[in-house]
Amino acid sequence: MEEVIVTEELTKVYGRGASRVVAVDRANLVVRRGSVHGIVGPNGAGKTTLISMLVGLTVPTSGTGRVLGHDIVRESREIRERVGLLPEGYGFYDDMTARENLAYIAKLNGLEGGEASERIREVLEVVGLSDAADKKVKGFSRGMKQRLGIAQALLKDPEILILDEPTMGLDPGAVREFRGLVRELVREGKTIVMCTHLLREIGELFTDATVMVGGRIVAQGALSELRDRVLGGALTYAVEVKSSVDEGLLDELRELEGVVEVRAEGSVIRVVASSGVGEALLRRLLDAGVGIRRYAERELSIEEIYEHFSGGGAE
Amino acid sequence: MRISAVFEKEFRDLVSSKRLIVILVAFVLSYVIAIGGYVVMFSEVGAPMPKNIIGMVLGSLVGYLSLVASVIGIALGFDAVSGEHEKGTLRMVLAQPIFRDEFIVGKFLAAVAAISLAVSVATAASVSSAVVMLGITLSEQDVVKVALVVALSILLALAYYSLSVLCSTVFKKSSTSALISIALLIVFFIVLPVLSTVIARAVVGPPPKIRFRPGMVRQDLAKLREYRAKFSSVREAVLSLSLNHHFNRLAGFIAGYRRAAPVDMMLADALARNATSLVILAVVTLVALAASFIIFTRSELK
Repeated sequence: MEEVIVTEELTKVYGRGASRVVAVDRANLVVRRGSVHGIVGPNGAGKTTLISMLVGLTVPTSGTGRVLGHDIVRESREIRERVGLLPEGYGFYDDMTARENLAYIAKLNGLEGGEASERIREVLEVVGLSDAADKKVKGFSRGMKQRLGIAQALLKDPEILILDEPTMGLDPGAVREFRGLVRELVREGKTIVMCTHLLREIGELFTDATVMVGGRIVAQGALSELRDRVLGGALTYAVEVKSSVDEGLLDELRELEGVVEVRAEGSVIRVVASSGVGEALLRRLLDAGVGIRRYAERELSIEEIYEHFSGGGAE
Repeated sequence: MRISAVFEKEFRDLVSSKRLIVILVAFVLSYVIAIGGYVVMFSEVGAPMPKNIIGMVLGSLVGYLSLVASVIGIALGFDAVSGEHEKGTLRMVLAQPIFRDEFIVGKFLAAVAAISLAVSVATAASVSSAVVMLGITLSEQDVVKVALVVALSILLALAYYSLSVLCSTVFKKSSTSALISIALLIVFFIVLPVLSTVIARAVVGPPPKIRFRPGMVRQDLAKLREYRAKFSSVREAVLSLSLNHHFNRLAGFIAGYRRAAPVDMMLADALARNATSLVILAVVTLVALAASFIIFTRSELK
């Protein structure tokens, strides 16, 4: 698949001497066209600095990068013409309506007149703000402002959408709406890059991920590749049983072919296996007369992948 | 194209801003009230209308504009950059295909246009009120004087605007920027005039005691003149640090220039005697704007 963002040894250092901080350390980022690429890491990991360099808001200290074939330093305007960005900590002109704010941003993107009006109408509809188009932004909720933020990023019909902490401060309903909107944009063929430390909210959307810790990229790739790297493509099982299970039975489960790890957590038995062992697992438990309340088979989640590579927990 | 988009939005915001409208209304009202005082004095008390009533009108206009132009400059400039930082709109705008220099230049041009319009309209309204209330007629020279005073007021407002924008660029918080800008105004407008007298007195000492004795009057007067000259030069040196002083010197000179003198003579005279003041106002404006431009275009959004 075509690579739309590529960086080589991209580094950003702030300050000098004792106050020197390496915000991004030799980052080699690769984003594939059509992917939903999550850049994950704790606060201060360097995610925002990394994407700021991609669109020319911050100048790299060293290293290079290209976005859609454009150099990130010399051709930042061309990049911003083709990339929609929802920056962290963004704001709108509160005394202007949603439509007026978008009209200003449209002009900054070279859109005017009927073309701009039509595009504004379209993006307001996409984000579900048509009814509030002529209301002043100062009366908007956080969720509405966030939708307006996405609308401004979509105005130029970008090939890549970069969203920095897009669900920060949103209530669960707004997060659900946001996920639906992202899925819709993916269907339209957009490449989406999202920075977040709130994996539970949007991690399920990612097809690819980059894990950043302390300014460094510690892992990146398609989620399937990352899962393989964590446990060789392992599957995890959770079986909730009605009665307690003795250590002898757990040892028998450990001896099943493909099982890597078995541990009991209260009434739940968790099994990690390198291949499908679900049927064998259930049969062995039932043969031993253990009642089963619930059974779940799943792949490693993005949170687990993140925890593995970062050595810490996500929020 | 992008500069014009910024210019258009900023100009609309500035001329419709409540703070500017409040300042202009307060200026026009207070000026009209002051002129009303003249009317009461001349009509009800029965005092005769002085021959140079237009000189008085223009003189008081210079006094008012010295303060009002400064306040307008600060009011429009103190949050020009920091306000955009605080609201997060700077991030939103710079995420678009616009360069920082286009954004800041668009803002500067909008401020120049808004300040010019605001000062011109407010002065026109004030002077028109004075003309009607006092029943006077303006000569061609008077109109030129008013136009020159307006032009100088715009320059003074731009000087304060550029200093405030510099504060707004250096300090990321608008409250800090506003405090420093107002502190500058207080220093220029109040502290330096007071301080100049105190310093001059300390440097030159007390005035000579004149003893009126036969044959000694001329020598005593010469001593007094020498003392005054020294006192004034020290005071002038301290006051030369004040933007308002330079405006007052130049605009006051023009407003008080003798009537019926040809306009070109007035202009030549004003420039010959006060060119330094004009240069200082212009240089302060340009240097502060250039510094703001450089700092803003080189700063990064973290």
